[in-house]
Amino acid sequence: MQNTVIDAHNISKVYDQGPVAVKAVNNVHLHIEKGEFVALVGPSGSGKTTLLNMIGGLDEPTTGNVVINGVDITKLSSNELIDFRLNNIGFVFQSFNLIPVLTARENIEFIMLLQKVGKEERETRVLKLLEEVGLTDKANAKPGELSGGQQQRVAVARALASKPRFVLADEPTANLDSQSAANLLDIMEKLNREEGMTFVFSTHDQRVIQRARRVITLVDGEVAEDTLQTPLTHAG
Amino acid sequence: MILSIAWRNLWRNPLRSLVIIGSVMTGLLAGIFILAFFRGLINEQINTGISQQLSHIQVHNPVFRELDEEQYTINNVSGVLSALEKDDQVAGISQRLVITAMASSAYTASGVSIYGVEPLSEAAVTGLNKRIKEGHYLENSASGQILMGRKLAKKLHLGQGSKVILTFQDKNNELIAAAFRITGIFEAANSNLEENNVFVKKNELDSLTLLGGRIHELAILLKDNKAVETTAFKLRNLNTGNKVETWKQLSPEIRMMIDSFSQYMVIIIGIILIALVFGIVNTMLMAVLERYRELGVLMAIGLNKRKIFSMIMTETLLMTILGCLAGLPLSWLTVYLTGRNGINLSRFSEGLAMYGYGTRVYPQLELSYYWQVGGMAIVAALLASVYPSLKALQLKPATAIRKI
Repeated sequence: MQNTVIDAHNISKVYDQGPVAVKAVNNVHLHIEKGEFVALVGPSGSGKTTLLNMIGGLDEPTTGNVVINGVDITKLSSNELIDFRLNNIGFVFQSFNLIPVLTARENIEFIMLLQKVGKEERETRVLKLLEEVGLTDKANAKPGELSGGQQQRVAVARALASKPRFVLADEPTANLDSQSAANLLDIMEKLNREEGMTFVFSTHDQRVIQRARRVITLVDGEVAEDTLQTPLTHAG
Repeated sequence: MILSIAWRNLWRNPLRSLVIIGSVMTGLLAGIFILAFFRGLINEQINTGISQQLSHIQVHNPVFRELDEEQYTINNVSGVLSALEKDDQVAGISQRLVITAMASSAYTASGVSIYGVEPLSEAAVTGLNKRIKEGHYLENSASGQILMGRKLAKKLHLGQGSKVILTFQDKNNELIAAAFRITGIFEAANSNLEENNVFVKKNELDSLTLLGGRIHELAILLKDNKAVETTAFKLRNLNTGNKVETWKQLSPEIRMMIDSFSQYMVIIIGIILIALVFGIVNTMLMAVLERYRELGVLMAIGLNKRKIFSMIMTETLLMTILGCLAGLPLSWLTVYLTGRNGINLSRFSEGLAMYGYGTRVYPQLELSYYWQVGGMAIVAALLASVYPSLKALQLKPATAIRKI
């Protein structure tokens, strides 16, 4: 259990839509260990994003609980959850969602400022992350001056800046061309392989699915299949 | 960090931010100018009242102003005058007889107050000689002269050189009728003064009323208004049994206007700020709703509610401060420029004269009011941003992130 990062027990999410209750996620058990590279796949409406949101503490399960590093996040208050997310989870969103008024460097640094990391360490880490995502020369560019692929790479760097326990990525390649998507996957794979960073991402992009080590297929909010494509290797 | 993001957020939609900054600036300019204009009107009324009628301090017999009877003259005039001679703040003293009378012409009659004055002293205290618009001022050599206000002359159908009969009681309550010839017609900023007062030489009125050199009123003009209370205090301490009143006590309506100035300020600025508050609420609400997804992302990645709240408040505060930085100096400059040359209101002179105002108003406002108004604007802006900030806190990150 020492390597367990995410432990979701029997989680369900039911949306009340008038007289009809819609079960977006139904009774899912999920156990993810450190260093995994997991793809949540399934057709639209299968509950991938809802499941990711519940794992990330952005949405509350109707039933069940989510334990991250021994902490049941379903029992945390709204402010406690924000702090928990800040220090434990990195997010990459489909639409990049960088802060438009900040430069690439500042977007990455922002998380560390929230964590009250010292200036020297912030600068070192920002430079390292920009180098890892291949955007050293774009450090001072604002999101509007970057391509979609570059923005998503900044988003990955931002997600990693807080030194999270794992990164959740919701359809990270959906808005990218094939070359940008391949570059992004290269970076994520490298981080996973070399630094043991755990990635959990939702996708229905076949190129991404092929590169995932573990593929969890959701159908109608339930886990239909959980396949290990490549043996799990831990960094170090 | 919050400050930096808030500052940059302002310039994402420069037009919208400039509209709010401009509104704050215009609101402050309008509010401060109205206050300065109002203050100028009050000052005008005070100056006119002091220089043309009241002077700074008046001394009477304690019951004279209540009973208005000629036997109540000032006690120990020489003692009072001797004290005033030693006061270096005194610029002029006018000794007056004040008698209630009926002024009659061939056409009609009107109740008046006859002021028996020494021409030179009265000129030094009220500048009456400078306000003669027809004819000339009282001369020591001639007798039977009277100065009449233009309004009263018009009412009595009289002009310069006309005769007027004044009927009044002497010391023994005997009815006296005396004829005077109008040597000068004067004008005054205060229409009451023009309509109700006439001026004759004191020695002539004294011999008619048999008062034997006694007087009813001492009008004292000082070099500086700030010395009023000190000089009045000294005169009261003489214990001559007279009533010593400053211009504020003599004219309670002016005092009331001065005292209520701060209340007017709150009302005027309050109205302007209420309008401003609605504008700010609307703009900031739009800013929050437009950035709903971004705020959701910020909350998702770790910006807590307190910081989100601070960010929205800071944005509003920055816009208001910018509005104040533009509006307060602009207001000061406007007040300074209009106050230097005055605003000509001669088109409304008749209406203004009814309330004792002159025709040129010099807007003026103490600097402390600028800070107060600026402070009120900032407080109003902070209150206005509470609702949009709370609205931002209600969002749920998962829903907000998906918002298009």
